[in-house]
Amino acid sequence: MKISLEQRVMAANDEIAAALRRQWDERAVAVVNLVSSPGSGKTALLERTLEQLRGLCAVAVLVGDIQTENDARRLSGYGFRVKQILTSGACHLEASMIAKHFPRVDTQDLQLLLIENVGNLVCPSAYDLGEDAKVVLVSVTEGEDKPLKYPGIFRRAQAAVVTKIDLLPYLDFNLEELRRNIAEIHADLPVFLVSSRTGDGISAWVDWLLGRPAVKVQQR
Amino acid sequence: MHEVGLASQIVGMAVREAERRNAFEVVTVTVTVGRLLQIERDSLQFGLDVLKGEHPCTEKTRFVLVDEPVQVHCSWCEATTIVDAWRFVCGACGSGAVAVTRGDDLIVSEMEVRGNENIAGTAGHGSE
Repeated sequence: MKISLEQRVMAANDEIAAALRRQWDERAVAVVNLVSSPGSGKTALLERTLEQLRGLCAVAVLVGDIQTENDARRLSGYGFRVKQILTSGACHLEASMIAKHFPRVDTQDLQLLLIENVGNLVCPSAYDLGEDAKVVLVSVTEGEDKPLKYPGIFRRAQAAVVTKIDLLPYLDFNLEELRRNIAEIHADLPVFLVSSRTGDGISAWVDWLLGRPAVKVQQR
Repeated sequence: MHEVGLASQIVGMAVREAERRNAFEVVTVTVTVGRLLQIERDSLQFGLDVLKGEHPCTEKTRFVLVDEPVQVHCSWCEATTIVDAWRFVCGACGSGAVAVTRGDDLIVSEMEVRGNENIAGTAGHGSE
């Protein structure tokens, strides 16, 4: 007996993500999901970002890693709630993990939830976490062709952050080529150039982040 | 790496559907794999072939993966065309004002099952 099914495999994840999104929309909580290769500087960027957001915005952080609580330790101490999600092997965060751990960082006045995904440019792009925006990071010590090699995440992202720009004088990295490659996959994607070490470019990125909760309030 | 997780979901969907229909054997499952998903087909196939052994009704199932090209709809000229993955321009007029309509999803599209009603004397050989 042949059965026509047409069932989406991601449906279970996407239902949980949709429920999270509804909850966050109602409360006007903006949610940003940071995705990059391991070592692109997601945690360093978050350290700088939290430092800047202190006193300006009520933030919570969920940080995903396969092992260790190191990132959560680094990100605590800025006055915001931070929770490590250990995926014990899984290469990405799923909506169910966010649903389980979010209550631990939630506060009544929450405006912005920052999610640091597991370092990986492929798998996280397929999983909706209920976020408003995925942000892809690429550091200047990686290849200019990253967007072409990993087009999925660049297509789904709503902003790109180029990190470690303080290293540019020591590298043969061609920033314009990276920009062209990003534009080829995702025209008009906002691109921020930052150095978490020197603080260069951080304010433009933080302004963009601060704009997210404002957009949500307007949409309500 | 998430192919194994996806394979586990797919096997689970097949088993649930078989149970729901009182079938004791899943013969084939057709899975449509959109090109934009960046799924490694060999890994997915491997995962399916390993995980299907965990359930009596899927032990012998043949999982067929069907590649789905990327289809876009152009809001400028209203054409629907098949395009190369990651080249999001209309195949008819070249405009970039396109929305992806196919090739961006992983779908269990079809199943073939043997149910208890088809073969006499097999009642009781339920699939768990």
